[in-house]
Amino acid sequence: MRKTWITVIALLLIVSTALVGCSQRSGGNDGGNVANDSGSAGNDADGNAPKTDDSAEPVKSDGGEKIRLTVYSTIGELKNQDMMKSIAADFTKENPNIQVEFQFPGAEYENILKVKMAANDLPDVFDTHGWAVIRYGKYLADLKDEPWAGNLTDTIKPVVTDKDGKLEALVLSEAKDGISYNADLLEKYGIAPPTRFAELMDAADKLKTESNGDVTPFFMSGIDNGMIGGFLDLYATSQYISPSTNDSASLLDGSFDWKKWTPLAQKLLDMQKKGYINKDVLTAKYTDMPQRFAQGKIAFVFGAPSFADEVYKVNKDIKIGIMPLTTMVDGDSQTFSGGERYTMGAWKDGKHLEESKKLIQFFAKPENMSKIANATKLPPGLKDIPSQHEFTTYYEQFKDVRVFPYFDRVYLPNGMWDVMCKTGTALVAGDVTPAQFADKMKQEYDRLRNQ
Amino acid sequence: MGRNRKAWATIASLAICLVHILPFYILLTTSFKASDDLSSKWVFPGYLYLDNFSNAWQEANMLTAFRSNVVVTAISVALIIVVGSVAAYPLARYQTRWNKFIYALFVSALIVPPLTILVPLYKFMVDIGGMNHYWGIILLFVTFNLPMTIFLYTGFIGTIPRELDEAAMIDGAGRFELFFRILLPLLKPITATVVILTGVAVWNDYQFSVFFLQHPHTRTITVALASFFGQYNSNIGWVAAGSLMGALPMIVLYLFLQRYFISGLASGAIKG
Repeated sequence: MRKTWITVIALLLIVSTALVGCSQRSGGNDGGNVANDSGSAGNDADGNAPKTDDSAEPVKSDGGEKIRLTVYSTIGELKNQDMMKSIAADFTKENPNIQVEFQFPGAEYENILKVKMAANDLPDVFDTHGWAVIRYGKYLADLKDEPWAGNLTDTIKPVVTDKDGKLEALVLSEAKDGISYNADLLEKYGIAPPTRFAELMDAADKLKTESNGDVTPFFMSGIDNGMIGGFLDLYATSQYISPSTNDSASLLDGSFDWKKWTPLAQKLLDMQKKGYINKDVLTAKYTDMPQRFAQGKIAFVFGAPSFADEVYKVNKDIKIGIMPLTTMVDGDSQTFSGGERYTMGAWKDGKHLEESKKLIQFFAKPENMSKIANATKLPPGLKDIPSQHEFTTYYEQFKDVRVFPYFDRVYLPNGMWDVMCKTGTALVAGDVTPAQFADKMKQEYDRLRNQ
Repeated sequence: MGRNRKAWATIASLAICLVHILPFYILLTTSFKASDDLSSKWVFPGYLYLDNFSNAWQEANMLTAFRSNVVVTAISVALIIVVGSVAAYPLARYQTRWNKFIYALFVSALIVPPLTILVPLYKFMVDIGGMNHYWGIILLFVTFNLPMTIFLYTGFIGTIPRELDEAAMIDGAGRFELFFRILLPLLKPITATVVILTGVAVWNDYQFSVFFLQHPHTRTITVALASFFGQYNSNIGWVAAGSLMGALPMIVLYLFLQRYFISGLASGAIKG
C-alpha cells in the first residue's frame, strides 16, 4: 500500500510537471519577454477557435523589441469581445512588434481593478466604466494631446476631463440612459411614449388593467439593487437638477433640504403599491428581466437597452424602443442621464505608455469607432461617426435632448450610491417609510461629506 | 422508542440529502436546456441539447482551464501533504514548549480570513513576479492550506503509538526512514482526508484565482466560467454545463477516497 501512495504522489507530480512544461507562462506583466509568448497560436491546437483566443494573431518577428499590451475591458457579450479583438488584431498587423492581449473579467471587473489600484499594478489600457475622473484619474495618463481628443462629443468631453483640463480616456461608447420599452406592447395598447411622469403612470395603469395583470409595467430587482438605485438616480436629475429652478447649488454646497427627497421616494413606493413593479422585486435578478421582456411581460425598464441582445436570444422579432426620461416638474424638458460606457484609458505608470496611446489612437479611427458603435448599439464618444443599428434612429431623434451626468457622481459623496440602493430596496420591502428614507439620506450625506 | 428515533433520523437524513441534491438537480436541468427554452427550471427538456457543453468548452477555453486546474491542484496537494506531514511529525512527537508554540502559531493562522490580506498579498505577488504563474498561486494555496493540514496530521500522528518509532529506531532506521517507511503508510486515512479537503478547496477556488490567475492561458475553470457573467448578461446554461464538467473530477476523486475520508477526519479531529 505504501508503494501505491508513493506511486500516486509521484505520478501526480510527473503529470503536473509535464503539463507545466506544456503550458505558457505568459504573465500580463512580464513586459517585453515574448520568447515564451510565441506559442500563443499553439494554444489553438487545444481545439479552440482562433477568434476566441484572447491574444492577437501570432506576431511576425521583424527583429525589433517585442511588446505586449494588456487591455482590460468591461464588455460582456462574446460577439462584442470578438469585435474588439479583431480591431486589436488589425493594430498588430500594422505594428507587428506590439501584441495586444484583451481580458474581459466580467462581473469581477471592478473588484479586480480595485485590488490592482491598491497594488499600483494596473493594465496598460483599461476601461474606466464611468469613473475616469473620480476613481481612476490619478492612475491615468493625460490624453489631451492625442489627435482624436478634439473630436470628443460635446456631451462626453466634460465627463472625462478633470478640473485641470486633463483628458482621462477615449470614450468608445457613451451612455445615454433614459427608459427602454417594449415598442410592440405600447403599440398593442395604443400608448404613445410618455413625456411626463404622470403620463408614464397613466400608461402603467392602462397596461396593468387592460392586460388583466399579464403585463407588469416596470421591472426592478432587489438583488441587483442598482436597478432601484438607478431609478432614483435618474429621477433625482429630473426632480432636482434639470428644472430651471433647481437644487444643484445646495446639493453641491451641502445645504440641500433632504425633506425634498420624500416625494421622490413616495413615487417609488406608490408604483410598488399600485402593482406597477414586478411582485418578486425583492428576489428577482437583473438577468431574469430579458426573458420576461422578450415574452411581453414587462413594458418599461429604466436605463439603456444594454440587455437587448439577451432579449433577441429569446424573441428575435421584438421591437425595443428607447426614450428620454419623463419630466418630473412642469415646464421642464426631457433628459438623459449619461456619461462613459466603454472607454480606453492608459495607465500613466505603464511600461509601454507610448504604445498604449498608439493603440488607443488606432481604436479612435472612424472606421473602428463605427464598428464599435454598430456592435454595442450605443452612441459613439467621437463626433461624425456613422453607425447603423436598430437604435440609431432613436439616438438621431433624441440627439438634441439634454444629457446630464449621473446624479450621484456629481452631487453625492462617495459611498452614497450604496445607501440609495439599499435604502431604496428597504423602502420597496416596506421596512422604511419615504420620510425615514429622506432622513437616512441626510444622515449619510452629512457623514460621508465630512469624511 | 428506538424505532421512532431511527425513523426521525432517516427523515432528517433524507431532508439533508434533498437540500444538497436539489441544486445539483437544477444544475442538470439548466445545463441541458436551450437559452430560449422558457420552461420551468424544475423540468428536464424533452429533447437532447448539448450545445451548452460544446459552447462552454469552446468559449471558456475549458481544455486550458482543465489543464490549469490539474497542474495547480496536483502540485498544491502533493506539496501540502509532504510539507504538512513532515512538519506535523516533530510537533506531535516532541511536545516541547517551543513546539507547542509553533503548533499554536500554525493553528492560529486558521482564523485569518484570507481575503482580508488580499491587497498586501497581491502587492507581494507582483513584487516576486508570481502573477499569472502557476507557481505563484500554488505558493498561496500551500500557505493557506498548511495550518489545517498540520492540525489534522498532528492530531493523527498523536494516535500512533510512540513504541513504533522506538522499535524502528532500535532496528536501525534513521528519522527520515522511520517517517517515510513506517509512519507515512499509517497516515493513509488522514492523507485521504487532506487530499479531499485541500483538493476540493483548491480545485474549486475562486477567491484567489480570480485575482492571481487572470491570464486566459493560466486561468482555472471557475475563473473561466465566471467570465460568462457580465453586468448585463449571463449565459447561465453555459455556466451550468461548464460547472458540471468541472465538478466531475472531484466527484470521482471523492468516490475513490471516501472510505478513508471519514475515518481520517474522525481520528484526526478527536485526538489532538
